[in-house]
Amino acid sequence: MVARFLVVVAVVALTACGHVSKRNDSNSSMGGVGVGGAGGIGGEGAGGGEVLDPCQSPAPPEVPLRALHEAELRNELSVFGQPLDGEVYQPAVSRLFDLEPEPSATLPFVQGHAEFVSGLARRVTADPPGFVKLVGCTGQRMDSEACKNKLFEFVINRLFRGRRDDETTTELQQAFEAGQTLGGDFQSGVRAVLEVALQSPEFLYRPELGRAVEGRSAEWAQPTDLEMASRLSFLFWDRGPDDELLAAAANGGLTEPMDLERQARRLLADERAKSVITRFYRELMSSGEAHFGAGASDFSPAVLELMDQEFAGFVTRATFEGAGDFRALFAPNSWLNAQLAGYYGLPGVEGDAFRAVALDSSKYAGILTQPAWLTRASLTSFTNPSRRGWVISRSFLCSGVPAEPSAVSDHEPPPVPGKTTRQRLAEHTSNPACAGCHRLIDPVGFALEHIDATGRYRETEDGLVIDASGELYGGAGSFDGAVELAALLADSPEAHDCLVTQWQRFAFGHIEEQTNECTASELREQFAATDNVIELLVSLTQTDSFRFRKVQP
Amino acid sequence: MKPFRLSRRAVLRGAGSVAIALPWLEIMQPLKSSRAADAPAKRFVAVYTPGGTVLDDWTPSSIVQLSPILSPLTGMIPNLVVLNGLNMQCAVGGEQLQAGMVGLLTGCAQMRNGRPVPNASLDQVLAQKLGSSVLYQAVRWATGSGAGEASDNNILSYGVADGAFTRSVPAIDPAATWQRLFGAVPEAANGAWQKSILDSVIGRYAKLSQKLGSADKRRLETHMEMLRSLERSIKEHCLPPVLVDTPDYDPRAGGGQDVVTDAAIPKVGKLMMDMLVMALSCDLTQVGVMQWADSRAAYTLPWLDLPGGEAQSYYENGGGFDRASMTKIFTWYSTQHAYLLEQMAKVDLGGRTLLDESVVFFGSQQQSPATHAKDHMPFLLAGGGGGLRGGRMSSFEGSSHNDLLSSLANLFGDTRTTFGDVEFCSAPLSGLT
Repeated sequence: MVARFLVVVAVVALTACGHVSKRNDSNSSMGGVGVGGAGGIGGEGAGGGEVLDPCQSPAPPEVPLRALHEAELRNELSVFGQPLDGEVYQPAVSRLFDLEPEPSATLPFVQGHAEFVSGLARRVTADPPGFVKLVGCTGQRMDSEACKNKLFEFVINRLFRGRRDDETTTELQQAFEAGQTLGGDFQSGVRAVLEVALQSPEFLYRPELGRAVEGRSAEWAQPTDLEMASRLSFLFWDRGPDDELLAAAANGGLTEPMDLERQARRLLADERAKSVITRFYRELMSSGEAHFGAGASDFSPAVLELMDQEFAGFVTRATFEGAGDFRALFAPNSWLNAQLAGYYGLPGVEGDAFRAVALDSSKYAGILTQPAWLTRASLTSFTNPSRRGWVISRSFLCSGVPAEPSAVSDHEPPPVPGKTTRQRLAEHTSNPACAGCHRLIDPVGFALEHIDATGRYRETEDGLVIDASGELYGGAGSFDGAVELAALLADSPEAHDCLVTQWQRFAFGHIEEQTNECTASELREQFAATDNVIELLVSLTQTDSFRFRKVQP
Repeated sequence: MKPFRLSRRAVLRGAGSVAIALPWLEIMQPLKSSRAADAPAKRFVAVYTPGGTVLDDWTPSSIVQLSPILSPLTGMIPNLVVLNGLNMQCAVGGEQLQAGMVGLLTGCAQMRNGRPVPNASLDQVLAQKLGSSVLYQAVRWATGSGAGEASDNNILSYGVADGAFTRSVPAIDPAATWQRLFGAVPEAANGAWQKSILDSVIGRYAKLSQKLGSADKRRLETHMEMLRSLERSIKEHCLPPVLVDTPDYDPRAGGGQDVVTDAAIPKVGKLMMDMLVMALSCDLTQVGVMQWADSRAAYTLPWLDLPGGEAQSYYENGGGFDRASMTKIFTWYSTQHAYLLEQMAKVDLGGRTLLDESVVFFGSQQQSPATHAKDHMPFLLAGGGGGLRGGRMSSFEGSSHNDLLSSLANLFGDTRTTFGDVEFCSAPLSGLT
């Protein structure tokens, strides 16, 4: 059934609607469009015939050198205990839906980062007690030999994540001496070491030299235990390994699958895993910047910040509490405080602290009705069902419908008196040139029409009856509103598989061409069996993609 | 004048954009087909030396055979334009020394009665056009009753507010200027520091990339190329000058006798020129004014070993004028000017030098210490900015120095046809480009 899982990139020319498809190398206007796979939701796979097990003769996974992305860089720099907001220079990073095979360093980043670390090193050395605490030479003067040696240890263990060779300490000593000579004091030596370390490839990248694998061909390599410590900690914590991981690596305890599983469970049980889960779902539901209304609208950046907390609370609870299954993502509850509940007009929530709140199960459907992403997919007063539907199709059905061109994305259509948003968008599906994509995405978006552009539930649209009914393409089921759409998705094997695909992309930084089919099929089977996201994350560490790498020529 | 401050980002930006963008632009540009296609000049420097010159020892017979006073500039001949015969009419009629100071860069008469509205000096006009501040520095700057008091005796750079001149005050303390420019973040602005850090970092990329497979190696090499660009730009443009110790130099010695301070003038002058070149090459400023004294220059030049030793206003009419000493003094100033031009010519902006993009004006407030005359001003131009063509001596017998000022403004893309008092203007000089 391999063919069933091939993601087909939609290729539809939409010139009549002002869209230009990135690719137009297909003559097919409909046949190339898939939702969740060639068969569509609930449709039969195109299989039949002999099914090859991709794990019969597995290929080693290609693992390109990864650079730290922004969240990782911020977390790594937070060890200095210095304020970072607005200062960290953003690297060119690959994100969930913006993955590139080899994102390259850019001159603005290299320059900006050099400037940033220079300032950071200066602030660190201007605070001797803080420095002593940072490197752990308690009771010693900052300008002592003991503190200097602790500094080198700190650089190697924390900043280089344990990577060292016979010359590393000597090289750091040389950087220290050069700085001390130029700046004329001990502090300058420290600053030089920090400036060099924070710009080094051992810090900004996650280099893997690897080692041979017993019992496999020469194409196969596996990360060293130390490199595996980084794979684990970056996957679950968005940061480098802690002391326990480094110790395990030093003892050869990060090679066997059971060792990896034990560490994975430990890391996932830690508070630091929550921000990674949140980042995954935030990127999964991403679409653009919020539009804050002028005039009477009370939707503001401050409200959006509360919505982001609500979103984080919802997705982490759905993952870590209760069943932690796929269905939990669509459950009618959320995470609110008095101010945000008041904004939504929901009674009975008091206090500044956020807490779990059960919502009306006829109106709310978990992540589908989370305002943090719905408002970002909307324009100022226009709910933009096409955009919302596209996000759902892309993120939960792995549909290949392309995003609209940026030229039209912020276009706010003027209101038409007496017509609902849906009626105004009728052209999308009546015009054959538009219908190719919009008949796939618009109905999904119409299901969410009860949440307005500012994130509030509405019974009617300016007094007009809202029609939130629709069908999933391919006869995969019909729905009326978000709750019924959620039920369809929660039961859909394609949606389950799609979540696995998204986690693979997130965890391995894969673009589709690099997806290791053996790993993918194992994970899909595993998730189908356990239906638990934490178990899925643990099993990521048991796969070929996680444990091995292909030897680069 | 806007104060300006060096940030590391400014250094990097200036350096990076120059080092990386320019060669590309050079490639993109078609070959010069006509002079009209010359890009406007980007940087302006005015250098003032006191007292004029000894005209007979200054005027060359031809550009290839420079005069004794100009001989130190021989190496810069291809960049040099010797201007003969210009008449600084605007400075006739006021106080003999002061009017020359006021008029040199403004083209305006000193006497206020019945004068038209004053206009800002050329440096200020160009700074505004270029969106820059003016780095205005002076050596041994003082005059009149109170040391440091700004007056027509000692100011070249003027703005205009409410229909009257406003005087800029030069930076006179080189150590303070260094601190102001480079002191806020000394090492960050220090090219040697940056270079040392980058050397170590690049070494780490080079070493690690050797251990990786081809694709990963390529990625680190891309990063390493960026670091190398950064390093190249720092090495070539933005090394802040060494702050030489100047405890022997009292910038506030004023008009009084202070032979110790006098003896420090060469190193202070060199430091100021070095800071000027650094500030220009890093785009910290695009306009500089360098003033070698106030109008009276009541100081000795002990390193020249002049007969008579102390001088009081050494070029005052009848105040012990000695042609041989005067020639020696003005030759020394030429030597200093040659150093400035050489330093500017050393800065490579990617196929063009800093001097190529600049216009440097060298002048005084009068033509002769003995006569205070102003009808044959000893002016020099240097650089290639705006298409200025060097390696020439031009005679503008009887033309007004105001017309030179408007011509210089034109080199920067300013289209005015007069500069300063219109009564002294006819038309911009032709033949400079």
